[in-house]
Amino acid sequence: MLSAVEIEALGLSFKVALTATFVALPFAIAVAYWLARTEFRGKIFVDTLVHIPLVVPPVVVGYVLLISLAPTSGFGLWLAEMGLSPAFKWQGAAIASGVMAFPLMVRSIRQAFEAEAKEYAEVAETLSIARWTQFRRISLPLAYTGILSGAVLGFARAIGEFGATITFAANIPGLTQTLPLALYSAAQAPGGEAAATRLALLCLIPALASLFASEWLFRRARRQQGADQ
Amino acid sequence: MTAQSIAKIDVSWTMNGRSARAAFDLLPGVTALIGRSGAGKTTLARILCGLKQNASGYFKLSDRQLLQTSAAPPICEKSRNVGLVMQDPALFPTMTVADNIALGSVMLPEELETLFAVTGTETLLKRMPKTLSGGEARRVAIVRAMAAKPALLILDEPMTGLDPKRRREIMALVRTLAHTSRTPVLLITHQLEEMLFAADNALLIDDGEIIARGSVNDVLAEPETAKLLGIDDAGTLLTATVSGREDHLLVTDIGGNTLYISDDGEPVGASLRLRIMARDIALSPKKLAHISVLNQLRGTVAAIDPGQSDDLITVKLAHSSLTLQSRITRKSCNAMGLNMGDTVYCLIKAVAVKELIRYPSLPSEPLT
Repeated sequence: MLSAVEIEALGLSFKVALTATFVALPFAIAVAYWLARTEFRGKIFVDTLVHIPLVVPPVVVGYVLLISLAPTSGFGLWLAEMGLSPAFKWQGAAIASGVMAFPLMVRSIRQAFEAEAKEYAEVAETLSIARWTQFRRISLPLAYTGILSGAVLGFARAIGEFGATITFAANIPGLTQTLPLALYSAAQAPGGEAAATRLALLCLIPALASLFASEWLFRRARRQQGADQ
Repeated sequence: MTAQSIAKIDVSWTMNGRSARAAFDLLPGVTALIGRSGAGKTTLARILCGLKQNASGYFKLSDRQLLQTSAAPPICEKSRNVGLVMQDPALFPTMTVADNIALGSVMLPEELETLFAVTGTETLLKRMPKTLSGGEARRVAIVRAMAAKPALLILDEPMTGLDPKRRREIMALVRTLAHTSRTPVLLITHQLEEMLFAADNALLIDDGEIIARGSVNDVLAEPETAKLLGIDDAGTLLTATVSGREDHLLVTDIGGNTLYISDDGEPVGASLRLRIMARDIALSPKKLAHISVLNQLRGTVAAIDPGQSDDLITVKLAHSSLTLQSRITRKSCNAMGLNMGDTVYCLIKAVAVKELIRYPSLPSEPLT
């Protein structure tokens, strides 16, 4: 059976990953739509910037968050004065997880927007339908399976996040110790192999379930787009 | 811009590395833009809608200057109020037919009701686009475009992929809407049949150039353009109204003249578009008795266009401004001693008149 610390880590992981996903999702949708539908000078740089967390070591992302948002920086100090400092709190873990999940979400959602037949946008233009209405009434419903798939993928990435979280939010049991961090602690402790195995399995289950769900949604979206066009 | 024209267009663009230019005035009613595939029809439509931006020239629709690249600063309106229905109806798949139409509609509810009634779309409103047949989807796409009250409606091959019956329905719908709503329609097609069925005027486009323009009859009367359109003989298009039935024949009225045609079950009052080939009309200097030909329409010779071995005679019918074209041999022309202004009777067999299409009954009140 799971120990109290493991149950706490499990609960905290879901809380952190769900918060990260829901907070990052609107931004991911907006950026994905912007990149899918707009051509502008410097688009390649924006694209690169969005994808940085995919290619740099997560520790780097955690460190950048730390020096930007911890009270050692001007902005971090202001946040601390307002009582909003996220460093070494579960909210910090959520921010770190959200940042790491963001590019995956954007990629998946952008694909959904790009797959929308261009005729819909053209017809909408000739009908003088406002851009916001086009987005809300046409593009968003068409891309919803892609958005769900991106959200699930982001959740899977967030729940497994380790490097950025430990750097920015630390590994404080009951406060910021998510499943991967608890696994790390168990693996480091003498005689902690059984706990580490249990935690590894616990990490695997939501990750595999999320990946499966994401793939299923992605396939469904492709089938739907094929039927619509 | 002539007094009648509702749009003046003179636009240039690059097509396959060459420059192309289309200059014409658009008249009310249905204008067919006809040409082979790759002639530049769709590109021109996209330029007029504002979907293709890299074109230069001039486009004035009603009183609005929509494009004038020579102006300082250049004018290129993005919102043009030019409706477009493409080959793919592109109905938004996640909403019902009613929502599809409502999304861009600027019509009042009662105007929409009239539009639905005229187009027969009332029964489709609650359905999702994927449940519609090809013909129903095109119909809805046209209604959706009309509900935005466009100053010009462009239909880019809207009948592609439909069976003949559905194509006729759509063509009849296009014509009805154009005339009841007074919205000018530019019908892009490569099908001669669609031009004959639905259009009042025609523009023949080839390699991005307008090479013939005028009323459909004028374009068909030009031997060169008729040949380009794949027509082997001149002919006349007529709009007739069914006035009664007689001995298994339809009695129709064409500009005050009676024309008997085969009875295809059209109701009295129906409006028909008919086509009579020049080779199917014989001429006689006087009315003949004891002859099987039922239609003997009196007129005067308005033009004699000599060919190599036969002549194309244009006859202006009595009591109307309608003209018919008759192709007779040079020998017959000489034997009759035909001259301009001579009175002749056009002899037309009832079975030789081809009924192209029956237009639906028009609503008593025009759409606004």
